[in-house]
This record gives sequence, C-alpha cells and structure tokens, in this order.
Amino acid sequence: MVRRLRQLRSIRDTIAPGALALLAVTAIGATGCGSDSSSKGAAAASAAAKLTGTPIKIGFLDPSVGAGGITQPAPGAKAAVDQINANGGVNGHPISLKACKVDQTPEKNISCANSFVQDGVVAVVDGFDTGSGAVLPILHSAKIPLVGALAFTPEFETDVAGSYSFGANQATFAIGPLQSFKQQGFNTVAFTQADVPASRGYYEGFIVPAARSFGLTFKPVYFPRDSPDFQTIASTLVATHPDIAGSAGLADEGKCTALVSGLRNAGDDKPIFAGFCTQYLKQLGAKAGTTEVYSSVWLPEMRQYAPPAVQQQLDTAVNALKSVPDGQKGYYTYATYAAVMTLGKVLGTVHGTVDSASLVAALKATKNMPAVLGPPITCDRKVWPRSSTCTQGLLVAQAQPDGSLKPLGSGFETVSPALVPKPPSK
Amino acid sequence: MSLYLQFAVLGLAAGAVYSALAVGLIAVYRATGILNFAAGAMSAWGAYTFASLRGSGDLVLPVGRIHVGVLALGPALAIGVATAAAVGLLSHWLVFRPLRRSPALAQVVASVGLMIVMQALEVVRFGGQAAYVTAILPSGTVHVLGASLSVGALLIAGIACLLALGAGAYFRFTRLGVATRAGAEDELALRLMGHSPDRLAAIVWGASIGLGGLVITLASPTVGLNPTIYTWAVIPALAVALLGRLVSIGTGCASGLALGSFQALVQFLATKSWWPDWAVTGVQDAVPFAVVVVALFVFGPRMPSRGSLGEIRLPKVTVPQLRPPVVLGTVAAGALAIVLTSGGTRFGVLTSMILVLLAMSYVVLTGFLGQISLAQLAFAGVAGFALSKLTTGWHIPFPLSILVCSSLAALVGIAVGIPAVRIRGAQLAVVTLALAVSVESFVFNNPKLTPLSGNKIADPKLFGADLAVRSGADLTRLVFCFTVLAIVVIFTLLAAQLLRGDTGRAFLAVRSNERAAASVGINVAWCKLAGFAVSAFLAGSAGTLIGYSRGQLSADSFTALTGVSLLAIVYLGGIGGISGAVVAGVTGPLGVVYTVLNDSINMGEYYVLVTGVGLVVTAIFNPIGVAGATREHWDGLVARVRARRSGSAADDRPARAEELVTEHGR
Repeated sequence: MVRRLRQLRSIRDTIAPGALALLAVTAIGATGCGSDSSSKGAAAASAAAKLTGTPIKIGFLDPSVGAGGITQPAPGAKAAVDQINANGGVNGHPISLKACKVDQTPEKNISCANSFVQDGVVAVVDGFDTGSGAVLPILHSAKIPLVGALAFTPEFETDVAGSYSFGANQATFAIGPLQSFKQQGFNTVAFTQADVPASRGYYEGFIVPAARSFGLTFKPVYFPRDSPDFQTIASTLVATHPDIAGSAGLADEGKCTALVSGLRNAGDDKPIFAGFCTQYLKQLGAKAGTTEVYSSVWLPEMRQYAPPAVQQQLDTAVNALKSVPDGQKGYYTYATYAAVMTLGKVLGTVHGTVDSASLVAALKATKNMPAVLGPPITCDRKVWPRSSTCTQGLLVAQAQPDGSLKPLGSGFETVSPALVPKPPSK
Repeated sequence: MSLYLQFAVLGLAAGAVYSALAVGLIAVYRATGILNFAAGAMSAWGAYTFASLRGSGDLVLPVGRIHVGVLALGPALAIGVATAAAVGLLSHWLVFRPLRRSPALAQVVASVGLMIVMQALEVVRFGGQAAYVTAILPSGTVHVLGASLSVGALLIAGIACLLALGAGAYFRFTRLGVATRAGAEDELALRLMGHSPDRLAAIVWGASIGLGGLVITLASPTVGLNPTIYTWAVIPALAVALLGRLVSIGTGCASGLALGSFQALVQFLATKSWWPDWAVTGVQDAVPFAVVVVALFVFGPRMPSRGSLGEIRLPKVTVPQLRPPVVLGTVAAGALAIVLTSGGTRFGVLTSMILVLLAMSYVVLTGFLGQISLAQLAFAGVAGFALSKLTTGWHIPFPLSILVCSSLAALVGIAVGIPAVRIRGAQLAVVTLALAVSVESFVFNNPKLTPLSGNKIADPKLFGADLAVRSGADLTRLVFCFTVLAIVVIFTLLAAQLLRGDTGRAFLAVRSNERAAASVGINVAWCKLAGFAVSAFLAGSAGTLIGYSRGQLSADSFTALTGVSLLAIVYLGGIGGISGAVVAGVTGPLGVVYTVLNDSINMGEYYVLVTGVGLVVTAIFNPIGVAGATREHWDGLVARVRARRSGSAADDRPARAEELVTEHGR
C-alpha cells in the first residue's frame, strides 16, 4: 500500500497541466472539515458566485423518479459540484450541473439526452439508470462523452467509442468477488437478480463462466422484477445449500435488506454477499450476521482501513453530504460524488476552451490519475479490451461487529483480463 | 418432497394477498358492478402508512405529513387499516358513485386512472424504492412431514381465510349483506324497499380496501413493499376472482392461496437443471394470464352482470368526415410544427405524430368497436422488437420493414381478439391487461430475445437516401420527420376511410348491441377480429416508428403501465374520433406539450400523477374527452350563429346520415 501511495504521488507530480485543478480539488479536504453545513453551503454559493469564467455545463441523468427510482446519486452529484465551485471551480470556470430526471425508461433518457445536446453540455454523468443505454446514439451523434462511476448498463460497458467509466468493469465485478470467495474457501455460491436481459446477460455472460473457471458451483436465481417475494427467493437460494448467498447488485437498498432478512429467516447462518448495499447494516444490526459487500470507491464505513489521504477525502465527502439523511445515502451517493469530483479533475487538465471535444481528448490522455475516493484511472482504452472502463480496481469488504466494513486483502484488488473465460467456440 | 411442501407454504403469503384482494374485488363487483383495477394500489396505502408510522413516526397524507412519533404495533396497524378504508370510501364517494350509470368503458378508465394515481402518489409520497417493514407475525418455522414450514405464511393464510369467511357471512347472514346481493339483481326494487344502494356500496368499498390493506401490511415484511408489487397483484387477484365467476368468495379465496403456492413452487422449480431455459423468464406472470383466459373462455358468457337503472349511454362517436380543407389544414399544421421547431422540441413534435397513430388504434378498437383493450402497447412492442430483428438480422429494407412488422402485430391482435368473441366490457380489459403484463415479462424481457447490447435498429434508407432520425448535433432531421408525417397521415386516412364506410357502421352496430347487430346480418365475430387486426396493425406501425426514432428499444419502452397511461391520454383527448387521437398525440407522454411544459416547469415525477388525476376527473365530468367537448362547444356556437342569422330557433336535427347512425348507436 505504501508503494502504491508513493506511486500515486509521483504520478500526480508528473501531471503538470492539471496542477491548478488538482490544487482546487485537493484543497477541498482542507476546507471541508469543521464547519457546519449551512455556513459551508453559504460559503460555497458565495465562492461560486465570485467565479467569472464561462460555466462548464455537465448533464446529469438523475434516476430518482418512477417506481424503482433511486434517490441516492443526486445528492452526491450536487455536493461534488458545490465543492468544486467553492474551491475555485475548474481553472476559474464554475461547473453548472444540468440534472434531468429519468425513470429507467429509454423514452425519458432520450428526452434528457436531447435536452443535454440542446443545452450544449460537455459531458453527461450517468447516475446509475438502467435505461441510460438509450442516450448513447444521441450523445455519439453530438460527440458528447458519457461518464459514470460504473458502466451500469451493457451498452455503457461496451461503448468504447464515447463512454468512460471511472469504476471497474462488469467482468471485474463478476470475477473479483469470486476470486475472493475462492480464497476464503467457499465452493458453492448462490446469487439472485431481477429477471431482465441486462442482469441475465451479466450473470450468464460473466459470473457463470468465471465461477466455472475458479472451480466454484454457481447457482443463479432470477426473480420477477416488479413482484419479488424475497422470503421465497431467499428460501430458493438456501435450498441450493450455498457457502455464500446474496446478490451481485440490487440497486434498491430496501430489497437488499429484505433479502438479507429473508436469508436469515430461512435459516441461513453462512456469510451473505450484499452487493453495493450498506443500509441493511443499520436496519438489521447484529441480525445481519456475517456479510460481505463490494465497492468501486472507499465508503465512510471503511474509513479506519483507508490510506490517510483517502481518509481526508472521506471526511470531506461526509461533511459535504452531512445534510442528506442517513437513510438516503449509501454507495451510489459516494460513488456519484467521486465520479463528478474526478471528472472535475480531468476537466482541469484541458488546455484552452473546454468543450466536449477537448474533454474527450483530456479523458483519452488521462493516465494513472488518482481518482477521488477510488483507484488511479487510465482512460486510453487499454485497461480492458472492448470496455469503457478506466480502472480495474475494486474493494471487497466484510462487515465487522462495530458496523464498519473491512476490506479483504490490501485495498483495491485488481483482476486480470486473462481470468475472463473465453466464450465456448461454436 | 418436503422442499415442495415448504415452498407451497411460503407462497401462501403472496397467495393471501391475492385472496384478500380477490374477495374485495368480488364484494365490490357484487355491490356496484365495478371491477376495481386499483384495488392493490389502494390497499397498499395502508401498508405504507403502517411502515411510516413504525419507521419515521410520520402519518403521511397525500399532501403534507403529521409527525405523531413512532407508534406501537397495534395503533400503527389500526391507523394503517383505517387509512386504507378511508381511501376506499373516498374513491367510492368521489369517483365510482358518480359513475354508476356510466358505460363500462368510463368505469374501467376511472378505475385504471385511480390505479395510476395511487401508484404515482405512493412513489411521490413514500419513494420508489422498497420500504423496510419490521416483522409483525412470528418468523419461525414448524416442522411437518420433514419440511420446515413458515409460521408467518401459515398465519397470514389463516387470517385471509377468516376474512373471506367473514365476508361470506356478511353477504349471507346479515340484513345489509343480503340487501347488497339483492341490489345486484334489481337495484330499483332495493330502493323501493328503503335501502340505499350507495350506502351499502360504501360499506363494501371501505371494508374491502381496509381489509386488503390489513393483509398486505401483514404480508409486507415477507413479500416486500414497493409501489409496483401490489399494484400488479391485482392481476392474479382478478384471475382468481374470475375463477370464482365474480360470485364465489370461497373459490376466490382458495384459488388465491393456491395460485400463490403455485408461483412459489415455480420460482423453486425454475432453478432446476431440467427446467427449460425459455420458460424461466416471466413464467410467474404468465400463469395468471393463462388462468384469466381459461376462466373467461369457460365462464365468460355465464358471468353475472349487475342490474342497472335506466339505459346506459355509450360515449359519443364522431364518424370521420375527411373534409379536404380540414385534412390539408391538419397536415399543414403538422408540417409547420416540424419546420418551426428544432432539437428536443421537434423531437416532441415527432413523438406526438407517432402517438396520434397509436391513439388511432384505441379509437378504432375501443371508440368504434367498444372493445376495451389495455394491450395496445404490447402490439406496438411486438412490432418494435420484430423491427430490430428484421433490420439488423435479416436486413429487410424500409418501408417493407414497417409493413411486415405491423402485419405481425395484426396477427397477434387477431389471436388476442379470439377471447373477445366470447367476452366483453371490463372482462376483456382484464384479459388484455394480463396479456400486456405477461408479454412484457415473458417476451420483451426474455434474454433469449434481447441481446446484451440491446435491441438495436438500423437507420431507415430509401433508394440510397439516408432517412435517419439524427445526424451530429441535429437531433431530429427534417427528412425523418416528414417521412413519419407521411406514414402517419397515410395510415390515419386509411383507418378513417375504413371507419366511415360499411365496416365502421358495422363496428358501431356491434358496439351498441351485439345481438341486434347479428340479427341484421352483421358477423359479430368477424367484426371483432377485424377490429383487433386493424387496431393492432396501427399500434404496430406506431411501434416501428418509435423504434426508428429511438435507434434501439428495450422492454421498458412498452410496459403495461405505459400502455394503461396511454389509454388514459386517449380517453382524455376523446376516444370517439380522429380529433381525439390528435389531442392525445399532442398531449401524450414525451409529446410536444409535455416537452414544452417540462422545459419551462419541470414536471418530473408529477406528470404521471397529473395524468391519472386528469383521467379520473375526465371520466367523471367529461366522458366525451377534450376533443368531444370542444366539438360540442363549436357545434353549439355554430348553431347559435346560424340561429341569429336566420332569426329562428336553431335546427338541432342531425345534419348528416353518419351522425344519425351515431346517435342511434347509443
């Protein structure tokens, strides 16, 4: 870890063009602590008002509406923009966030993409909407990049032409936990997921073959998206006698809690994998038992295990999100916050006019840039074949009795593309 | 074997919800003759209230909230059930009582509107994600025949059975219950005996929704609580209520429990290696659809209908006149709207034009033929998904691709129309809604049909000319918009020509009275199948245009809820004529009005809520829709001007033969 920190510092020192932006963003850590949120908000607004540069418009797909909408990402995006603007913006230019509410349908995403193009945004940040793949034809046409904390849809994942994910790709998230399970001595894994093409593709395209290559027995259990009965689903998982059961990624914290609770009610006393969820820790307390999660960024629950520099970033992030009630923030909030902050850093490396073309050039030139709360990113398309990802690192963590999440291994673990099983020849 | 028993018992929790809702549906149908599609969404309000009182300590109201502090189990449960009952009573007094003598379509539309309102309200007030509900019943297990059986599920099933017994006893042994049953046979006689059917109906509405709320609250820690789960639980509940022929509470209750158990067993069996891959996705949603179709096909003609006071008026229909100035003026207005707008607003205009075609499919089938279909968007989806395969896999060129895919949708329409030969009214709405849900789950969401990269659609080209919707920052190219305008105008005019001829008159005759139509030589079955085919063709062509305008499609473009919302918009516009379809297109979701409004005042999550409220209000106060009301006002104005000019009383006789047909068609 020490070696990695040294490596990061040396990389940071070599990125001269972005020095101003880096200064602005790293200053966040120093300014964020100790002040109350209202006075800080007023200070942020006042600082942003003093910025005289042309605003840099960024679109944000806010997935907070509709049945199944998630409200966690939006506060993260807003807090990041406020923080960047409060610390001098991007080379003197304030960021203007154009949020557009989407409801997982392609229609709403297309409508938002149209408005982003009209507004002249330089980039669009995906807030984990399952319908965001529909924006790609429009953004491609207008040469606007789609950026996100994770490639949340298969379209985003495979779009090497115009999308940039600051988190690990789907194969890494499939293989990473399996690698960890194997190291922990587990042999049988049973995961559940909503029965929609994207998750079926993810499970059967990545997890099943990867599990086979690790010598693990993997049992997928699919449930109807609109009418999941989690007690029945949990019992179905338990009936496969797994060493670890759970889900690779339920976007809904309430469903996570229902699943963990259902597994315990069904008599499962083995470890549970809860994907990106964390709220079940508070809701179920000790009843949750031994659980594991994964993440693309450091979370507040992991603070005591994070490197000092990251601890400072976490403190800043927690302070920036202090006004958001506990029940309404989690992985998706911090990951979105981190993605927008990291985008701000990349924008800071742009020479001259900031537009979508210069941003794309800056993204492609990004090499080993330390991402906020995350591993270094390199967006030259060589990190993973045929993937929009800029990094390979992910954290797998285990819940501790004190409610903290302790990473397994030495922090961000990487997965080699060589571990991805080849598709069977026809 | 013990595992099968264990899963059968686990499914009783969901089964108890189906049972409670089915008992409520049967009770309301017996008391009022209304099939309440909103039963699940209304009852779920009680469970949400309970969860909120036990969680944050807030009593959440449709507007505002009162902080009462975190309540103990008993008071929270009592308040939850009481609020659900209040929702039932309010819906009776405000919505369904005024609609008692309205046609089945108005009642279905109001009930569907209420379903949209309640679901949207739950999303807005309680959030779209699953709510955490603390356990109410014991979560342990008992061991029987080697199986660990869930005590909670057994208790919920027992409570649902007790409630069903109570409901049965009310109708059989109490004076009010017997009077309610008598009212179903002859409402006039009931009034003469001194009973108030409204008061009897109010008791049933309050009790059915309240008790539904109780069972949902008890089941929610096990089954879960989110805005969609209980909204759609109404479909299996309707399925089992229909198995009980909308009369037998006992059959409804037992079938509900059996269906829940069966679905849980299917969930378990689908993990077995021998279970076919293609039958994993959506099979749980397909089962209720199969039950509905079989029940209606077997029992349909023998389903009881409620006696009513006086003649029920059908919604007014305006036979298309196709006056050249009006047609040319409308087309010119569309062309002007395309030319004068740009970017997102022009995309809104484009969406509006496609919605006109989709709305025309409702006008043909529901407006003229009187068949209530909630599956129009499923027809559009079938064509859209087929377009993806045809253009990317088989390279079928434009515009042949549109004709082939729309014809495929027409074939599916004919298949759906077969049950309509034997059933009608609200029962047909049940079949088509169940079909829409099962097609969404079983077909559109089936990974065997949808590749990982989505259902992409190749850009249209004609004789080498690129007709693609966008190029660079030009979001909506003129050439694509005019292509769509031409297709919409051609198909709309063809449909209008059909409706103003013999076929249209036959449709109106069937709508008015099937027996009378048959007696004058009209082939009723043929008419219904032809109506479904034409309507599905129009919906399919709209589906292909949606596909070409998006570039790729997913199941979320064609959800059952979107289809239901579209019916709402078409009904708001006026389902009885082309002008109504145009109004629906202009005001429909993501159409030009929506786009402009959303740009100026961000409607966000409130759009669905506003649509639902508008639908309910229209169904009550203005059953002829916006276009119909405007036309009536215009006709009145013209009549007054004529009267003033001639100095005599306005001649209110129908001016045209078509109007005469329409008037007599009521």
